Amino acid sequence: MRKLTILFVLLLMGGMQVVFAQKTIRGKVTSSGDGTAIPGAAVAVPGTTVGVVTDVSGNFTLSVPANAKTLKISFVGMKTQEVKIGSQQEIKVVLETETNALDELVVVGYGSVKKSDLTGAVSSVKGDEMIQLPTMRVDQALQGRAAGVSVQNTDGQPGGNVTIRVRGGNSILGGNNALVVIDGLQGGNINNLNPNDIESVEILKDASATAIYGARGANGVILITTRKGAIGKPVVNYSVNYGTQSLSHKLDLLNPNQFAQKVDDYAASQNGTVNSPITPVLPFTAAQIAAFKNGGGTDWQNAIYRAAIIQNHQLSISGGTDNVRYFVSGGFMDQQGLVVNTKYSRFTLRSNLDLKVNKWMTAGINLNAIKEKGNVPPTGEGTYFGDILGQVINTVARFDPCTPIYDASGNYNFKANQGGPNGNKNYADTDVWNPLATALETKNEVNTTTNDISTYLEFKLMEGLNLKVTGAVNINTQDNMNYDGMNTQPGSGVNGVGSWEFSKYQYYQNSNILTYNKTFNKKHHLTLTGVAEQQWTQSNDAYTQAQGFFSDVTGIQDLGSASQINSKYTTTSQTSLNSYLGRANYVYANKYMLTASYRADGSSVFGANHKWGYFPSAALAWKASEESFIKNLAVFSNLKLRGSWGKTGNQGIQPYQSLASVASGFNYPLDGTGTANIGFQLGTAANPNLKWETTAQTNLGIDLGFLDERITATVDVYKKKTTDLLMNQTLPNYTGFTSVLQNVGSIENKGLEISVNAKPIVGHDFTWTTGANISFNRDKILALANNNAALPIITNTGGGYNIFKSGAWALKQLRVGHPVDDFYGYINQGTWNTSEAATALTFGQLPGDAKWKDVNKDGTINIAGDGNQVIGNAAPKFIYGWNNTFTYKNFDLTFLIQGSYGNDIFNAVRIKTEGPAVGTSANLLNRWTSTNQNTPVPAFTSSQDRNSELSGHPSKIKMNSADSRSSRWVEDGSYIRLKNITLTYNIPSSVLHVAHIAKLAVFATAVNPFTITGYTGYDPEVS
Amino acid sequence: MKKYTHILFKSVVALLLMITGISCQKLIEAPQGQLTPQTFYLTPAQCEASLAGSMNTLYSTWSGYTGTPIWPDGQLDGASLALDGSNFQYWQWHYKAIAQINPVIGSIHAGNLKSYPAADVADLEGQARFLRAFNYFTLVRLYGKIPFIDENTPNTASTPLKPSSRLSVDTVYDKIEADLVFAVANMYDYNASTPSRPSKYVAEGLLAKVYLTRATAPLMETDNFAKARDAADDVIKNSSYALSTNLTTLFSTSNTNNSEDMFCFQSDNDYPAMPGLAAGPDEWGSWDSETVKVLWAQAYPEQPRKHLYILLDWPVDPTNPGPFSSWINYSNSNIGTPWAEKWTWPNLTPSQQLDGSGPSGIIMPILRLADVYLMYAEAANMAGTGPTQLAVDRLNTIINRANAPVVSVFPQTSTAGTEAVATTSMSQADFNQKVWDERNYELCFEFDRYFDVLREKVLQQVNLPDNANDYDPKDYLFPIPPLDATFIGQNPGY
Repeated sequence: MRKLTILFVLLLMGGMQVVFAQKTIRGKVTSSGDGTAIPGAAVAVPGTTVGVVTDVSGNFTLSVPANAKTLKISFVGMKTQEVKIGSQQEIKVVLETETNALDELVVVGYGSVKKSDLTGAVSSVKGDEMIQLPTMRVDQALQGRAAGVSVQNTDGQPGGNVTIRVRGGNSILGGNNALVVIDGLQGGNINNLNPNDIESVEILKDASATAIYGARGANGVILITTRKGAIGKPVVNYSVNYGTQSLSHKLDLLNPNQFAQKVDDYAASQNGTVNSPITPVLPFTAAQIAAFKNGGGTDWQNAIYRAAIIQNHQLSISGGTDNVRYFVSGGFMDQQGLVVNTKYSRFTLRSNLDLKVNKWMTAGINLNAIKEKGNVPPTGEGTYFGDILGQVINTVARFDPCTPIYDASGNYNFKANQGGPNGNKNYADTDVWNPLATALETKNEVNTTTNDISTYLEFKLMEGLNLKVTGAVNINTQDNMNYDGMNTQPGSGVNGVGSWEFSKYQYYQNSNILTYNKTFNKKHHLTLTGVAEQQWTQSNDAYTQAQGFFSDVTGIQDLGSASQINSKYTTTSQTSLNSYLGRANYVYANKYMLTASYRADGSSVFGANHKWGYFPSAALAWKASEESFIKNLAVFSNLKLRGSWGKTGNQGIQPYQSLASVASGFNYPLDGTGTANIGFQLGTAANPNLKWETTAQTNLGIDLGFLDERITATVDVYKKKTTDLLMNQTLPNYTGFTSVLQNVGSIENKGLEISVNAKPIVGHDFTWTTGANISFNRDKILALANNNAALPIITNTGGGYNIFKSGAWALKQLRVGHPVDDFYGYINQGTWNTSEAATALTFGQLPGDAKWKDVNKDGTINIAGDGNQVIGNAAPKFIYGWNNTFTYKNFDLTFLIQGSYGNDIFNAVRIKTEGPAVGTSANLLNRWTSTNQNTPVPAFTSSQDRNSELSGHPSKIKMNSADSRSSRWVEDGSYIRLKNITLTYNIPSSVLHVAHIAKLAVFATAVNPFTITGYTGYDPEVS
Repeated sequence: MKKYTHILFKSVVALLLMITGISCQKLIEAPQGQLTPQTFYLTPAQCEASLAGSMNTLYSTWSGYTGTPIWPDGQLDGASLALDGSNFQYWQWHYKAIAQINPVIGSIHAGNLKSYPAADVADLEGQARFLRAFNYFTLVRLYGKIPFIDENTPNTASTPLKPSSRLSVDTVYDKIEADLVFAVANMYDYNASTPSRPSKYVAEGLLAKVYLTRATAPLMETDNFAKARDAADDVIKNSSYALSTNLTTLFSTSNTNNSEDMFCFQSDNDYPAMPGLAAGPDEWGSWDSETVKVLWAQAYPEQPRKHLYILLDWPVDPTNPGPFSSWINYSNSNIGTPWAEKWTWPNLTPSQQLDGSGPSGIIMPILRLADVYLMYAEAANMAGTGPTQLAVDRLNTIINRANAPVVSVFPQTSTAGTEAVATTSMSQADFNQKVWDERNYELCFEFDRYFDVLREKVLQQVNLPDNANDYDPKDYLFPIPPLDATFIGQNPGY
């Protein structure tokens, strides 16, 4: 769904301090370089909210509490300084240029390093950047902000899933989602985190950074660090925002008048053959068609989509003393979906505590509790009951616009009406179910509770040697209830059908991290990290599906009233992972850096012969800007070259998948007594050799800084080769099995990432900071199972689309030498025009018929010669983002432009909406006629004319009539969109001072206010 | 201070070692919600469930043998000598069935069932080995040289077979015989409370057929005729099975597992064979599959049995048949062919025949006592120099039953049949041919005819006139599925 959101937001920060006595201090802030005054520098009393900004001449005047001891002065690009107040009333401050913006710490796996010492490819996004966005979701907030990271909404539901790919996809069956680590807890869920709780997000991309996560690191790692309290008085932060979102782009469909006319035009063309002519029955009279101009029928898109309300409240309190620091927050988010009756709400509670026990021991505990509740009627592909015919988003475009929502008695018109003089002529798509009934009469409640707890004890054993013992727990329970009432397609005729599923997932982690940090002879800086870690999971699931209820009120909630249990199962599984790892960082003279790491993972899911996997990495960096000959150039403030290599794994194996199984459900009346004997069969074959997928990645990078880091740039190139891909290898029949999961395939990814950040304007009243990134990734399949046989990706969409239905004509096929995301099908070249009539005749076709490319020039259009051509590719050639912040006095303006280029989308809905007989698309108005020949939409040719003109010219179009894989439905999915624009007004502190409020801001935001794309579906991001 | 740090360091390292050393999680998986071969086959009930599972592979709704195989045996239309992919499925079904049986035998041999009564366990092993023999017997006749995978064969999913895994046909038979001999010696006798469960004389009946097959083509090991004769004789004399006296109900779904049925593919309401609608006259709205060859039906001797085994006349509506004069003869029917009456109305009830979703109740005989009578007649004749009196008598028992007038819905069955009986004065070859003909008539549509065609070497003749130009000597064996053939090699000519 394309969103258009306007939000009005209020942000308050209150300092809860009581002011007893004050004194006034004056001063001036200047630069150490040229001695010029610094306007706009912040002057504040630490631990309080008292502060002011210097004026044009660098002067300030500030009333400070009598007991204030120091002043803190900070300015962008300068080192922050604290000066003692003492008894002075006039203070002069000289700020030094911040040569070491690179000294900031970057979180990496099991530790952190100075940014300047980084040898790997890591992207960082600060929490402050994300809360500028009212997205309320961390994953979406990452979109467009980090090179090499692709974020895609896979469905349009509120609370729906988002996929995050770091540097393309490495796997076919093993999953491609990056590992999310939240405060050290591995395998966290990024979808439901409260963005306001986040301090920073680091995305580890190259093997030097990810190999430390071994068998879970191959898809990249997203490290999330949540906020901690700072020493000082409590700071209360409350924000609220409220907004609406609506569909900005409706599909271009026929109105009732146009549709009725089109239906008659088509019906008129179905007039039999020369020898047995038929007088067509027209569904509508001319009067009926004309009457639709004055109303009647339904605009189904208006009936289904709405302006949906979003509201978000957020409260946090943070602060601390020397011994205790705390950050406590609560959030409530409530979001309606664009489709009626869809909704999502989320409650979050976080408590982060850090304790300094004594000089050598610190401890901490982070608690995060999340409750999510949603209602998601079948809105997209792949939802419950799979069949597209009873879903909303597909059927809303296909349903007859001439049929009212309700009949004369106020009941739903479940199916399209019929027409003609006897009222029994089908003219519309009679398969699909009333979309509004589907949306309103389906309950699909999703209830999720997540509890994350992570604790640590940290010991300073001796100077430079630290031990951190951590324990983490993640418990996630789901309670999903689905009920399709008697007014829905699945539920009609069976008196309702529903299911209830309870599942519980538990994850426990213990990491013991020993770190040694030492500088020798001032030039040799060494950091050693050793970790012993264990992880354990348990998943339980119980599911029941039943039908035949007495009442829609109770439905599945009264299972006892069901007449039939359709399906029931329980599952349980455990996994364990034991790991040992070590890492060495060595920096010589701040110029040469070496990182080497090694991890051993012992995983229960691996086959008996490969219980342990080993993942090495090494990286080198040279900070050339520290060399005198580079310094002498006076061009670079930073110049660093990096290179890394390493191996990571993807343990995308389900528990017990390497074991043979014995399965029930194969009963047979062996005894011949009229009652079947219980029968078991071997389910899956054992594969003791089953192991992780291995990705070997090489990365070369360069970091550049100019003009004292006012302009910085990072460029990375990488090449990844994934081997031992998990695939189903067909087995010979004599084994008694069909296939077994084996490590056989191989995929390659290579790419280029560029990001540039700059502060083009730094002035007194006006500053502009900007950042842009662009990422290129190319993938290629190197090897597949079954001797590299093409692998059809079969997903049956139902609903008559017939595009993925069988291996013989799968839209998506994996072929060696091709990219993963190629589409295959027939090449449509539009329609035959009258000047091509003779050629068309050789195919048994007429002008106005669809023109297919005869690829192998055999005079026939068939699947072997013409039907498995590459007709598109879903992977973008590049993705990009451009982020800007303008500050003028008390106004901030930020906006993010983000986009994708060169990806194709197979717009499957058009197969139905542009079908000649029952299609609803406005494109059908553009159908071929003798005066409108340059069109891809075939003519409504009279069947009698066809019969006579094609006499003696049999059709050479040997496509399977159900095979809909035409290049006609492939659209360019490139887009560029203004993802977000926010205007903030910070109410001047002079006004707020009276109310003891430190900061109050009002802002307005628009999400996706405009998009440029050639794609004709709802949204190129959700395809 | 330094001292304290030192002590602290030591104690913490000790703590660390304790945490990681003691509680390190086990990596060997022991699933609790899923059975594995290691946690199954440990009780007789589990083993029996696996044997039931093996039969499910061969005969379950809409799959396996629930559709009569259309083999080029001259009885049903549509059989083709252009053997192709459709012939792979028998390989797949039977090897899958064997894969369910071997772990049972392996578990018994490993002593996992020691705590149960030895005789029960021996009977169980006998059932398993009988079923394995039955599967391999089908495979060796259809595919020739095959791998004999047993409980000692290394996991074939991880240790691929080789061309050398294919054993010579006589070696395969030796192993089949060994399984059956064990089964005969260790299985219990027929138990009326579990009428279709394999038992001692069922195994011996199948053993007789194995001997008889070895004695004929392709092996022609004629010393097996005597063994076949003695085994068949033992079954006829000592088993509790008895020939049915009334052919009108022999195949009726209300008379399943009758005294003549020894071993059959079973169905019941919960696990039904596919609906009768799948085969039957077009006039009943049935699918037009499994039509009987008109030439074959015409050559069938006129006798009551003909009208009870072949549906030559039928009412327009079996729920309300009306007078016979209003019935349709096949020659005037929509499709123009007779149907296999053994598997249609009136052996099925009208609702079993007509309900497209309902169970047909059909059970398909694999071994029937009439077959054993005919096996005896053939073996006794060929083991000596010509027909013995007992051989003639047992053949004539079947012929006389076929000729005997009976009351049925078909008026023709009230007239005695004309098929000639056998005599001791017949030559050995004539008598042998007479038995083979009788097998063709008596055992029609029961999966058996094709195997007779192979061992009689008449594949080309029975496919005259329509199919015979496709004939090639390679057709005596089916092709091996391509992926399997890449490991173990293909049959000649494919």
